[in-house]
Amino acid sequence: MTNDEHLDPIDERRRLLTRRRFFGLGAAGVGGLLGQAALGSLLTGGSASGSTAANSSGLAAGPHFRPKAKRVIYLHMEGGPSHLDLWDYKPGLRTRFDEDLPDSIRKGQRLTTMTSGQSRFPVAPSMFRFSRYPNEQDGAWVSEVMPHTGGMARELCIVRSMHTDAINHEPAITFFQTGSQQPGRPSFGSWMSYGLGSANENLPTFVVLITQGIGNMQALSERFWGSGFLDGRHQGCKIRSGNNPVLYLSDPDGVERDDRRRMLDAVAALNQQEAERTLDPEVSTRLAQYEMAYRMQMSVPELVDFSDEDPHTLEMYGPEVSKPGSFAANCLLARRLAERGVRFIQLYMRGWDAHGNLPSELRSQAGAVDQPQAALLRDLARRGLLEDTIVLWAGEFGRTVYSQGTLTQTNYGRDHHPRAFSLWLAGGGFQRGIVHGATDDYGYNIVRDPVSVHDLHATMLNQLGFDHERLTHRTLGRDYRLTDVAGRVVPELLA
Amino acid sequence: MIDLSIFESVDWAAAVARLHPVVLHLPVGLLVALACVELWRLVRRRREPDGSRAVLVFLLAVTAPMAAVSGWLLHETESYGAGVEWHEYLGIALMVLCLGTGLAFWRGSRGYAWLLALSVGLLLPTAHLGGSLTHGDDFLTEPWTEALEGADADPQASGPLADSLATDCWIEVAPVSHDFDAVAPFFDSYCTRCHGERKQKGGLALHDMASLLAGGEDGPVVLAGDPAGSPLVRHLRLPLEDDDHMPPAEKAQPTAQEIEAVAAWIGTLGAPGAEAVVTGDADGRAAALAVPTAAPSIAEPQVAESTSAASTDEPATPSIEPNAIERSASIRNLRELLVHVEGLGRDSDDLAVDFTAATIEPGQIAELLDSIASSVVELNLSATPLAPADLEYLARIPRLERLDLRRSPDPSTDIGPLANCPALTLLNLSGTGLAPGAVDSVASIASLETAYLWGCGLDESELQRLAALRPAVRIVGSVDGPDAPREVEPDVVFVRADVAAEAPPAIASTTSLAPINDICPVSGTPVDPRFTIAHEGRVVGFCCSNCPKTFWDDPSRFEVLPAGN
Repeated sequence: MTNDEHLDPIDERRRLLTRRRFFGLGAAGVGGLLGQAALGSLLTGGSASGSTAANSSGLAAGPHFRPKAKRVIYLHMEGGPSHLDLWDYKPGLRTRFDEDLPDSIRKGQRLTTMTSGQSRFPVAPSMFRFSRYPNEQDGAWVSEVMPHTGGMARELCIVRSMHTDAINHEPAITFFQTGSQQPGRPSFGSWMSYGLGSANENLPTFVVLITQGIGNMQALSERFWGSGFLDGRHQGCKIRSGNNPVLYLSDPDGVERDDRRRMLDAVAALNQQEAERTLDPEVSTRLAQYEMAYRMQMSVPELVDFSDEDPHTLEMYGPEVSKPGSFAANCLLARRLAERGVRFIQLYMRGWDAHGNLPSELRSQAGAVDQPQAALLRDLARRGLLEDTIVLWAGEFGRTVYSQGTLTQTNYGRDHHPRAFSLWLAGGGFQRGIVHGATDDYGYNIVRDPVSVHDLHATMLNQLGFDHERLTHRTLGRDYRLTDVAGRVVPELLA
Repeated sequence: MIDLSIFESVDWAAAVARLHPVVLHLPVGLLVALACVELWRLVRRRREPDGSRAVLVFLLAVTAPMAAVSGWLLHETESYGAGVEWHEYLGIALMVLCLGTGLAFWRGSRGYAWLLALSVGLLLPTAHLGGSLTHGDDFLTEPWTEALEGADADPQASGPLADSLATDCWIEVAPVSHDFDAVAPFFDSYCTRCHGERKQKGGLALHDMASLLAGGEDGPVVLAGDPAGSPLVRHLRLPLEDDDHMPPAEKAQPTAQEIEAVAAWIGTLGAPGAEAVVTGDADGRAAALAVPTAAPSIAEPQVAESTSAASTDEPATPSIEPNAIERSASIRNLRELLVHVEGLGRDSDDLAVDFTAATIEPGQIAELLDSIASSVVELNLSATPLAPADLEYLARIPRLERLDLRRSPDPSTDIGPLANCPALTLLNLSGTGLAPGAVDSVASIASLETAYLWGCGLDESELQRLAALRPAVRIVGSVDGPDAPREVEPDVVFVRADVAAEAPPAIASTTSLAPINDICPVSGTPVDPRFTIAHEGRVVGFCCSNCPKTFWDDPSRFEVLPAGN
C-alpha cells in the first residue's frame, strides 16, 4: 500500500472522521481516538486482529500492563489424572489399605453415578513409589512414573490445592477452558487472541494439538477450543499429524500456487471495493484471513518439518518424537510454535480417565508424557523461552482416594474428584521450584491455600498483562470475562 | 365496567395538544380544496349555486380553530426552539382569516374571494414553518443538495488513503481527537433536528460544545467525566419503549455502539484540563479539551501545556502531534511487513516489536524503526538476517531492555556493537553463531542481567570466563537434564491397620507389572509391556490398548498362556 507523504495530517484526520468510520470503532475506539489512552492502546494487534477486537467490544487490544509472559503452552491431560498417584504424596495411606473412607472426610459429597451405587468406599493407596526431587524448597515428592518431570521440579510451581466445580468431563473441561461449565463461552486461547492479537501473522494465534491416549478416553469436543461469542477468527486451529496438518489449507490437485495467487488477487480486488463501500472491518478481516491462509501454505510445512532439529534435541524428547501426533512430537511442535510467536498452544493428551486398571493405564499414560514434557521445559529454558512462556500441566479434575470397583493389591480404579487435585505451572514469571497448598491425609479435601479454576485463570491473565476484570467482551447485553464474576490473582504463585 | 377514573387523571391540555399534527391537516386540505373549487368555477365561469362549497366552508370554519387551539396548547405544554413563535402567530392569523372567509361566504359578501386568497397565501409560510419544526428545514431539499455535493467530494473515494484504510485497522490510523468534532456527526444524525441551532426542544441544543454544556430546561445534560450520570446518556440508553427514551421511538435510532462511543467521549471530558471547556471560546471548541495525548516522547509535559494554554486564553494547541501521525504511519508500515508491534500497557508508550513473521533484508532495521525507536523496549529479531549496521543501530535504541537475536541465519554474528547498549538487561543469543570476541562484548554491556548463550558455539571455558567477568549476570549456557532424586521411597507396602499382623509381601512396584504372558490373549500377537492389567492376581499383557477392553468384557473367553508355553 502506498503511504502518500504529501497528505496533510490535519486534512487526513478530517477525512477519516466521517460518522460511520468514527463510530465503527466502538467506545474504547473513541477513547483511543480521543487520546485518553497512551500510544500503547492505539496499537491493536495486527491489521487483522486488533481492529475488530476494538470494534465488537470496546476493547482496544493490547495488554493492560507490561506482561511477564507472552504465550501459553497448556498441556491438558484429558480425563483427570490421579493426583494421588502422581503429585500428591500420601505415604500415610499405605497403612489404610482397604479401610473404609471415613464419613468425616467424604462429608456426604456428591458422587458420580459410576460409584454412587458402591456399597463401600475402600481406601486405595497409591501403589507407586515416590521420590523427593530437589526444588527451591525442601524438595517435591513426585511419583516414580514421572522421573523426568520430577527431575525438573526446580522449574515447577506445583499446586496441590486446586479445586473445580464440575464432576464430569464435559462440564469440567469446559470450565477449565472457558471459565464456565456451560458451553458457549470463548476458550482461554480465544481470549488471548482477542486481547493480544497475533504476534506472527503467518500462523494462527491459537493452535490445538491432540494426542490419542493409551488409557480410557473420553470425547474431546471441538468446542473446547471454540471462540464462543467472539469472532470466529479467535478460535483454535487444530494442527493434525500427517500429510495435511491444517485441513483445507493445501491447494487442490491441479491448482498451482500462482493460480492461487491470481485467484486471491481477484477476490481481494472485489473485497477491496466492498471494504471501501461499506468500511465494514469484517471485509478487511476476511481479506487478511485469506492472505494468512496463503502464507500458512508456506509456513505450516516448514513448521511441522523437524529435519532442522539437531539429533540431541530429538533424542531429548524421546523415541516417540519421530511419530507424528505423539505427545513427544506435539511437545516439540509446541516449542517450535512458541518460538514462532504463537500465543496459545493447547496440547491435549487423552486417556487419563482411569476408572479401572489405574496402575497399568497410569503407567502407560505417564510413560508417554513424562520425558517429552520434561524435554519441553528444558528446551524452552535453554532457548530463553521459558522466561516468557507459561507452561500449564493440568487435567480437568483429580481422582478419588477410594477405589472404584474391586480393590486388590495390584489393581484399583479411581472415580472423578473435583474437590482437590494437583497441577503444575512453569515459566512465565511463576515461582520456580515451589509446592503450593496442601490436602488432607486422604488427598480428599484441601486444608491449605485453595486455588479455584477462576483464580488460576486470573493469575495467568495477570502474567499475560491483563487485569482479568477488565478483559471483557460485551454480548447479549452485558460484559463477559474469562473469570466470569470470580477469580483472584494468587500472588504466592508468582515470582 | 370500564374504569372511568382515567378520565379524571389525564392531562387534557396535553392530550388535546398532541392532536395538533393530526388536526392541522384538516383545515389545510379543506382550504386547498375550497381554493381549487373556486379556481375551477372561475376558469369555467360557473355561477350556479354549488353545495360542495358550503360544506367545505362549514368544515373549514370548524376545523381551523381546532388546529389553532391544539397548536397553541402544544406550544404551552412542550418546548420548541426558535421558529415556533412565528408559526404560532401565523397559525392564529390564519385561523382568523379562515373564520373571516366563512363569515363572508355565509353573508354572500364580496370580500369572500379576497379573504380566501389571503388565507391560501398565508397557508404557505405557516405550513412551511410548521414542517421545518418537525422535519428540519432541509427536509425537502436534502435529496437534491446531497446529489449536488456527492459529485465532488466523496470521502471514501479510492486513493492512497482509502487503500491503507481498507486493510488497516482504524484505530491506529485515526489521529487523536478530543474536540466536539468527534461527536458532532452523531448529534447531527440523531439529535439536532429537534435539539439544534434552529429548534431547541426542551431548551436543549446539541450542535456545538457550548450548547451541549449549557444543557436544557431541566439542567445540564452532560456531566464531564461521568457518562453514566449524564442525563444525555441516560436518555439514550433507556429502552425504546420508555417514554423518556431519546431519540423518540419513531425517529432513526443510534446503535448501541454509537451510544457507547458518545458515553466514552463524555468520559474523557473528566480528564485533566477538561474544566477549561466550560469557559471555552465562543464557538464552543474549547481549546483545552485536549486530554493528555499519546505524547511521542514521554507524556508528562502534555497535561501542563494544555492546561496553561487554556488559562491564558491562547489559541488552541493542535490536538494532534505530527509526530504521532508519523509514528502511526510507521507502525502501519511495519504491520504491512508483518512486523508485530504491541503496546506494553495502556498507560505506557513502551512498545514491543517482533519481526518473527516478517521477511526483511539486512540493513533495513534503522529505516523501519526510526520514528518509533524511542519507545521500543522489547525487540524480537529472532531468525532475522541483520547487517552490521543494524546491530550498530540497535545499540543506539535508548530504552531497549530486552533483545532477542535467537537463531540468526548468519553463522558468525558480530555482536561487538551491542557492547554500548545503554539499557539492555536481557540478551538472547541462543542458537546464534557468534563471531570471536563475543564474550567480551557481552561482558561490556553494563546494564545486562540475563544472557542466553546456549548453542552459540561458546565452549565451557568461555562461559566460565564470562561468569567471572560478570558474576551478577545470569548466564544460561545450557540447561541440565532432569535432576536425580534426593530421596527415594522404599518399596511400597500396603498394610491395613487392623490386619497389620498379616502384612502382605512388599510389592516391588517397578517390576510388579511385568506380564506373565508374551502373547496377547485377544489378538495372539506379541505383548507390548505398556499394556497390562491385573486379573485374578496375575498381570496380563496385551498388544495394544484396545485388547484389555475386549478382555474385560468376558475374561472367560480368553486363555492367558504364561510365557514360555
